[in-house]
Amino acid sequence: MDSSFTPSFATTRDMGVYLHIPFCRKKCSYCDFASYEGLEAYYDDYVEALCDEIKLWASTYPESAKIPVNTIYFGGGTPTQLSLSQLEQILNTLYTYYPCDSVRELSMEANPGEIDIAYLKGLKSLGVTRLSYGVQTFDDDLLQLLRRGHNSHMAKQAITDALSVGFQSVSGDLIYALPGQTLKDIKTNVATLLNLGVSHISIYGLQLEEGTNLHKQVELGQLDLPSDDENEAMYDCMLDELKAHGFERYEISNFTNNGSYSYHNLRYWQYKEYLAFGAGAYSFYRDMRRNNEPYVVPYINRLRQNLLPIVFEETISENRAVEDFCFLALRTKWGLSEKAFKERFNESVQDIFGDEIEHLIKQGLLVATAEGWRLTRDGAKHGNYVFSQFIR
Amino acid sequence: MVTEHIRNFCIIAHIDHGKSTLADRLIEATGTLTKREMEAQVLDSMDLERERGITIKAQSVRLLHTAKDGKQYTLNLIDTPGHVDFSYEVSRSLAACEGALLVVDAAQGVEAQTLANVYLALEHDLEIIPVINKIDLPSADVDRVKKEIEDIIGLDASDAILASAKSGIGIQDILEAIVERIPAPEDKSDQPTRALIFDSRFDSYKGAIAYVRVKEGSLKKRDIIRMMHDQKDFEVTELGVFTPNLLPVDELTCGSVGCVAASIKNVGDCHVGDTITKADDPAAEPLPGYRKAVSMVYCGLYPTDSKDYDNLRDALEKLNLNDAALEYEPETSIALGFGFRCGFLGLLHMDVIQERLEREYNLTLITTAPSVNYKVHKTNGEILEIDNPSKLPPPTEIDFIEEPYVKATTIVPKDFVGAIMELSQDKRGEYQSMEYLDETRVSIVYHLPLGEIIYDYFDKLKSATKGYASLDYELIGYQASPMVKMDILLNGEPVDALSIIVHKDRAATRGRALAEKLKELIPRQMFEIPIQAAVGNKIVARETVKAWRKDVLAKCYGGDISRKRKLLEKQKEGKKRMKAVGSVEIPQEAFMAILKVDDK
Repeated sequence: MDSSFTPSFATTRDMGVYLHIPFCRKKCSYCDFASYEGLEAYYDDYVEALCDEIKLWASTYPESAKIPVNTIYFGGGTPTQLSLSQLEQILNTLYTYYPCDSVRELSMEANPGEIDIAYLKGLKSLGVTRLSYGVQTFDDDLLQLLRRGHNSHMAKQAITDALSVGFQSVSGDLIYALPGQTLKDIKTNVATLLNLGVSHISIYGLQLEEGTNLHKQVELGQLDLPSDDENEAMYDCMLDELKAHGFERYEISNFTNNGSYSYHNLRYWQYKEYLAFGAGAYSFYRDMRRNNEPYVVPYINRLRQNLLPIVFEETISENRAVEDFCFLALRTKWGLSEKAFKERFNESVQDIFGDEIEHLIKQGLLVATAEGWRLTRDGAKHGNYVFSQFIR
Repeated sequence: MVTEHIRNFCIIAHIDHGKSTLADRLIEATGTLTKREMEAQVLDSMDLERERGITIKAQSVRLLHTAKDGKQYTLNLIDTPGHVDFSYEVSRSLAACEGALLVVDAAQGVEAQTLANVYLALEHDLEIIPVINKIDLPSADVDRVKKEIEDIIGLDASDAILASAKSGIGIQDILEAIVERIPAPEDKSDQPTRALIFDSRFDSYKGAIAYVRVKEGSLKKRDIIRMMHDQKDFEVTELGVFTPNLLPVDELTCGSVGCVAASIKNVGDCHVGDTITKADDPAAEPLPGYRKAVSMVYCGLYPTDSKDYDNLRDALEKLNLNDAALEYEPETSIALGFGFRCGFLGLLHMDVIQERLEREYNLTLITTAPSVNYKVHKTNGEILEIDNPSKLPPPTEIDFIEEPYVKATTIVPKDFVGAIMELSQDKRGEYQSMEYLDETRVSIVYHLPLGEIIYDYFDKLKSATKGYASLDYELIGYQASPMVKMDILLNGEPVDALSIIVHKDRAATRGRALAEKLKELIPRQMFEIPIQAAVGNKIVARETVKAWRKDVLAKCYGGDISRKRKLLEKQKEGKKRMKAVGSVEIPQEAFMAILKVDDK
């Protein structure tokens, strides 16, 4: 893998493509994404609509269809709810309307226990280079509580299978600060996942989102979440464990031991453009951020009327772009680069945020690098504070 | 007699007992303004006044009323501010009147604030007409309220007027009572002119405008007038009465109320309480009761964003035009940068100014702990006036420190005498005298260090007496006291803006209380922050603000950057009112923490 990778910001323009598959066999109790269970009857119509959206975008914004696509990301929901031929249909449509000759990464989210070796091989032949499994935890009781459709055995099997099929990069997600979780559980989770041989891992603290089942259960007092102190201890423990296992943190929640970065996700932090197709998908093209109709049937209906399913769009002002650029860049290990900033905005970061940066350095939250600044470990822990300093 | 058809009066009422509504009705009933012209509650025009239910700047209005005797009377309603910080202003307004309407809510009865103001009115020998308002409320109990007026205040309530300002009941009776029962001003038109300034205002075209009550003689356009205390002369350019908008007149006769414009460039030349006379025929003596407005309380005002310094200066300049009692001069703080040392009449005055600066001029400010003015005698014989604790010289250079003392006069119902004494003792007060004004009212005089009473004395007094006490205080001089400077160290660094000057015996208790309060107010930060209170090198109290919890959002929501940003924006809002001092972020309230500590 390309471990000498450093992000290039403005030199060559390329594109990321996000494809959202909003279907799940079972909706997880913590999830507030656009994802739905029980909509199997709509899969065909949805795929058709998604393909129509790609076509419609390419004809509405023909300029976008001239930019070479660098990364493709199937997210969800559960993209593997679709059949291989459905996925192929989507990819072929994309390849027809967008220049995809130089795609370096085709990433896909997957749930353990839902796909077999044959399907994995099929994915590989579709060109999928990276698989990201929602492992979450290896504790069977907790998996049940989270309404995950798998158990710990299935998770281990899934990763072993994926590695045996030969994907370049296999990643596992872990969630910490779950009800009743202990530091010991955390250590076990990390060790188990790493022993399986993944080269990439993402860690997420459990977020209680309003409207989710889990939120309701906690509100009703049926579940107790770890205290803030315990939450922080788990976070620290995970960082320590990952470091001890030779995993490098290249973004606040993303780690790799061999430079297997998720290039698509990096685009978000590097202020690079991405198109997004599918219900509830978010795009960033030119200076516009847009998002799509999140519900499946209205999404399909819009496209049947040959309308783009955009429900919200905003132009990012230059001032806001400056702020977003900075706080997003700081999420990564490469940090905020003076040169990249200057290239993008033709202004010096120092002139705009000199005071803030100086103060954050004094507080031990930022450090100077050869190119600019990056977060310290403390800075990452208090990331929201650091980032908010770049918002005026 | 020129004064025969003039009546000057004010309205005394507890908040919500209907003073403003009654004023509106009187204005309406006399046809002074048509309903369409009426803004709701004409008199309290400043937003802040309306919100706080207090009157800060007095307003006045002239009502023309044709009484039952067929004659037309000029009724001047003089509004009064209502807080101890402004008790001098209140006393000047009362001095401009011969009578007062005492408005009492028919359901709630006599309330504390009413009593305090009635006491003041009685001191000025005003004729008081009790008005029982809101009699149409279902819960109205007129008999009980009448009895309260008689028992608590000691006024005859048998001829109290029953009214409902809201429904317009009793308004004509009130107007008649003003004519019948309030004495006309004494006719002293043949004497040399003496006019009492009871308020002033700044107009960008006309200069400072004096609101006056002509006590003796008269004033005409183009008269050369003299401010008797300042001995400055001006030529009258305009005279007017309030309808309530200004209506120009050629003469203000004896007994009347109006305003005087005389190209006075500075409100500082137009002191409330001063007497206007004529330069060519001056009166021998000014009217009694003048007090020069002196700043009692000082604090630093700093913009949270140093870029706002010039804006703050401009805003202070503008406020000062209308408020001669506000003093300010530039100062610098190591912690806070460039700002102003400001002097105020009291804490409420300080509060009001700060709020007006923030609201009307859109500034975000840090206010440092208030201080009084100390006289510091240095060992080398030099005497310094220090109103900023951080400017206090090192102890080795100080021979002794004198602190300002006030004579505080409290009038309370007799049952509360014990409470007043206990409180005053607690605040290092020295008992002077006690006098029964009548069967129910007692006047108690204490000498108190101003530094003790500016903080919470008035609040404590109110709670100790259920609000039934009135307080007036005046500066009487300085006394030597063992005062020391207490520094506050955050993260080991002294923060000059948090230093206070405190009595040696109270340093330890106050230091502990202050450190505890700061711990509450300073939010958790990156690192642990020790808070120490120190007198010289001795640490008298210590607390710790623990380090922050983890706070970082991990999810990327499939590229939904806007959602993440919104969370950060929310977080940012909360940080706006923080000032970074060294590596510590201190919220605005922390600088005022000393006001919130309890000695006990």
